[in-house]
Amino acid sequence: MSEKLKRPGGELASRPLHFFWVVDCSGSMYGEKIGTVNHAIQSTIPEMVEAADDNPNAQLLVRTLKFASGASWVTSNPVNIEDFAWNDLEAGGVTDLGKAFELLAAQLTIPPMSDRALPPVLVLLSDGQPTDDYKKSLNNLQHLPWGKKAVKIAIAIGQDADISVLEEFTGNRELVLQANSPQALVKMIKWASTAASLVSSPASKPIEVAGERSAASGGNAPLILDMNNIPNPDDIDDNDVW
Amino acid sequence: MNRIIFGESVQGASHIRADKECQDSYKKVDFGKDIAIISVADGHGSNSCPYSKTGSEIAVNVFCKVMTDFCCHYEDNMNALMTYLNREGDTKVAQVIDTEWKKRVYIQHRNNKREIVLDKQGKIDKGAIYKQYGSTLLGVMITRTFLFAFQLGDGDIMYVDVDGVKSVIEGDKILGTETHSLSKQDSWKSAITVVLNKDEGEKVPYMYMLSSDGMSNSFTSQDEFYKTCRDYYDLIKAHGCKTIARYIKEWLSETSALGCGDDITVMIGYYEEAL
Repeated sequence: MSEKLKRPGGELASRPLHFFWVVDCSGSMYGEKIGTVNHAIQSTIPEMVEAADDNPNAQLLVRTLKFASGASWVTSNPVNIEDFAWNDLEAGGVTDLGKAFELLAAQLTIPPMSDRALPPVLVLLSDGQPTDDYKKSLNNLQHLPWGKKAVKIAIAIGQDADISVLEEFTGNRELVLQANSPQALVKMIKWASTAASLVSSPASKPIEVAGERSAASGGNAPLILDMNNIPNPDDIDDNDVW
Repeated sequence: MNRIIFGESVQGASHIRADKECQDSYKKVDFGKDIAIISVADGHGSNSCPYSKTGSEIAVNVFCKVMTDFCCHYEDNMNALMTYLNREGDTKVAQVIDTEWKKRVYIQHRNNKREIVLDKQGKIDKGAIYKQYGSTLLGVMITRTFLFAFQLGDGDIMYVDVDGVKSVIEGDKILGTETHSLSKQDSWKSAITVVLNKDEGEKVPYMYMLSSDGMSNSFTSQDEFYKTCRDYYDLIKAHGCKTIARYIKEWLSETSALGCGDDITVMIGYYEEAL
């Protein structure tokens, strides 16, 4: 009897899915706000691990970028969600959002990004207004091939957050989530963390060409998130409003 | 010259987990002893395209029917057909395919009494209907003297011989999970076609390989995908098409499970000297 033939071919791999937490660590975040962010993101890790386990054909890689006076990577390289540990962030300084966009843009170019990746997810958390000239670096980010395709979510922490800047980032008002209390912030962070599992499906979709993009998509990546289950701020029991 | 055409379509690993059917389709037609028509289509599979399996079935049927009609019409003058496809492949031919796919989708939708979507003016929104059947389309017509290749959306059409692996047609590379689709208005404008003269450069045995994007997306790089095409060729040369055809379903399932999880379809047209 002849020997069974083995599958021919090159090296196989699941598709990488890059997930970025981009966190405002300026002075106004000091105290309860940064504490809640630290606690909430830490608490999403087991759920993200579970979601990643449910889809072995996507490799969920997580990184954290912080910005205040300047910006820097907390995790210098993409980390498998199974190995990801949250390092508590501290607050202090101004709000150099433009610097954060510069660092993000450098990581969303090809290479280091692979052209076979799934659309990256960028989650920006901020409570204030940029203190640097962010527009040029945001424009650069949005014109990168992966910058256009990325799923961008922003969480506005407190009532002083500059919603218009966050909307410029997401390209979609619906993807700017308002969190005016610790309870709301926890819920919004948890919802944002689920974006990874929604992006990880290999199902394809027709490309939207110029002129037919929906208003909701704002000319960015197609909406693949279920907008109906975004936590409603009115349903959140707030004890302490920022 | 012997011609052997075979292939397989497998449900993707992620579709098995989600209990979703395989949305790929394939078809081959032998037109006499000298002409083969092969087509592969990949239904989109996203939630907004619930009937994309039907869309991909219609796509491969349309490609084979349109090409068969051309063969019948030009049967006595294949040079004229080659000239026509070279000149009109990505315009008139693509328009015929686009129009026929949309016509069949609409009939299918009505026959199945599925919901007719209306626009704001109360007219039938055909675009919204087509979208539910969205699919890509790859196709080749291989004659004794030339090859015609057609691509609308993602996927790969490769040529392999003893000298190595070449892409027959370079489709647009779109990042992420979006693709060109037959469901779009004027989808023919996204079609890419090529006519290659077969008198030059082919070294028997050689093969053409059509694959849905689930195949190439499962490898770490384009080089690894090319290596895979070469490996299939070498194995067919060593063991014969019948043997490889017995294994291919298992291999493709394994490729999806260890790769991107998408449905995978591979069709191979292998040409060898007659014994």
